[in-house]
Amino acid sequence: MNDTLHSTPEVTAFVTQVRARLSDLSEDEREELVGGLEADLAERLADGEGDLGDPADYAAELRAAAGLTARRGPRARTLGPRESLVGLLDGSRRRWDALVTKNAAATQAWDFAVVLRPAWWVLRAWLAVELLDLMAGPREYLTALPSLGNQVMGALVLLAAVVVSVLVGTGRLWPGSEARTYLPARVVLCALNLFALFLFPVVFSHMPSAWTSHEIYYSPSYPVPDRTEGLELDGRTVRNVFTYDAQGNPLTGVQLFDQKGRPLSVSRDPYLGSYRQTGTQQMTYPWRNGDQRLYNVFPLPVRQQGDPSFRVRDPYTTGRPPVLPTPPLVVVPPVSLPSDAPQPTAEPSSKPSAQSSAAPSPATPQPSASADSGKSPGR
Amino acid sequence: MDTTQLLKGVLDLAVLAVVDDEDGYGYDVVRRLRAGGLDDVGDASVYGTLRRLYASGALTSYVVPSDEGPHRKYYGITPVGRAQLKQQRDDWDHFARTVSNLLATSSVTSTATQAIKTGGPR
Repeated sequence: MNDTLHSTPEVTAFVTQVRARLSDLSEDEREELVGGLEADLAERLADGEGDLGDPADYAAELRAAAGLTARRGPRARTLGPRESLVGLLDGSRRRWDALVTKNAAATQAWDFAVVLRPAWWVLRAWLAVELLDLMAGPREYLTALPSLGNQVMGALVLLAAVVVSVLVGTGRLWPGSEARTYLPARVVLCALNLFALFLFPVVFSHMPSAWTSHEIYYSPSYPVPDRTEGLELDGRTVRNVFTYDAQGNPLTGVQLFDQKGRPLSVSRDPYLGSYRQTGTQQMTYPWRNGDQRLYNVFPLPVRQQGDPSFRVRDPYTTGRPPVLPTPPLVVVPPVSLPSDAPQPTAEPSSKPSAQSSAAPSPATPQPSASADSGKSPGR
Repeated sequence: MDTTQLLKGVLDLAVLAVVDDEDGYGYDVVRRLRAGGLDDVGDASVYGTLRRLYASGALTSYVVPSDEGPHRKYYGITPVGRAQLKQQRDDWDHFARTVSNLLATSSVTSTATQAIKTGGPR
């Protein structure tokens, strides 16, 4: 007998596989069975006695001889599918390894892929959170940073998921911790990984296309815009409205409603309107009524920003809060109803050039009662 | 004849006998069994048997560590094992004799049957 006995990787792998098939036994029983087995097998190989055979058969024989099958009567019946499943998994792995080791390039590629495993751990965590986002939120595009309610929440959940996934991957957390020794853990781990692979196309089909990706990326949880909403003029989107009183002076905070009392809101879609047409680096911000954002109160404040495709969450706390825009026309001609007495005009100096639209005769101011609001008969 | 089934019945006895001769580790026991003529014995069966006998108290075990390779687990016989060995040896002797007698008798019987069939005297 040799005194120096070297275990080979083959023997170690074989013993690991035998051990896996005895995973239903208690730790003590299993150690009782496989303790010293490595030395025995190494010596057997050194004796020139062929290959070790099938670990499943070997484990079954070991178990039967040790009288453990008989003692676990009910277990014995589940042994069949259990062992065949282990055999299937191990067999696939062996075939894969054989395939990979066949040529040098494949071996290198596989080694490289193995190094990249941590990246997969992160990726699968991300996929899981995206799935959560998909199921939880309203119908919307998924975002690169999952938005579970709000950005902070999404980031926290993602971080937690990555930590869990990496712990599982490094074998510090179930099922990763027992994947080598306990069949259910191994099956669960395989199933989860396969599920993550399956999630890939699902998640990506819910990601915005290149057309919208910019907007979506910067405005998480922003609903997919309805491109028919809002006001239009001659086929062009109206992005802001400037109101003037009868005297022709600009007004602020005017709320507009249609004949049925519905708010006359402009489109909230940041992409519509002047940005794409003229390249204006301006973004409109709504008026507020508590938490409600109103787009039918004019003029809408605007904010100069580098990227006009998103709205900052709390714009008024930034260094550059939105401001009321300068009206396109400083004043407009005063107007009146034919039956009504017009207001006294403002100083004539600021009167714009004769671009009068509706007013019959702005050039003839007449004194009147100062009751524009009191008597304004509907037409 | 397939000796595997027969072997199963007497493996305990054979293993006890081998270990009674001298302490041994798993593969060593296998080798001695084979050297003794039990060529078909599977090593996993022997290891399983060793563990079972150990669990029942018939064997004791100790680990001999190795600096360079995996450790070896040696088995030795206990008084319980020795008693079991004696008991089983007696049982086996009795059983083997009975079976041998039975076989001898049956060979006589079959001769007789043949004789009857051919109409000859007994």
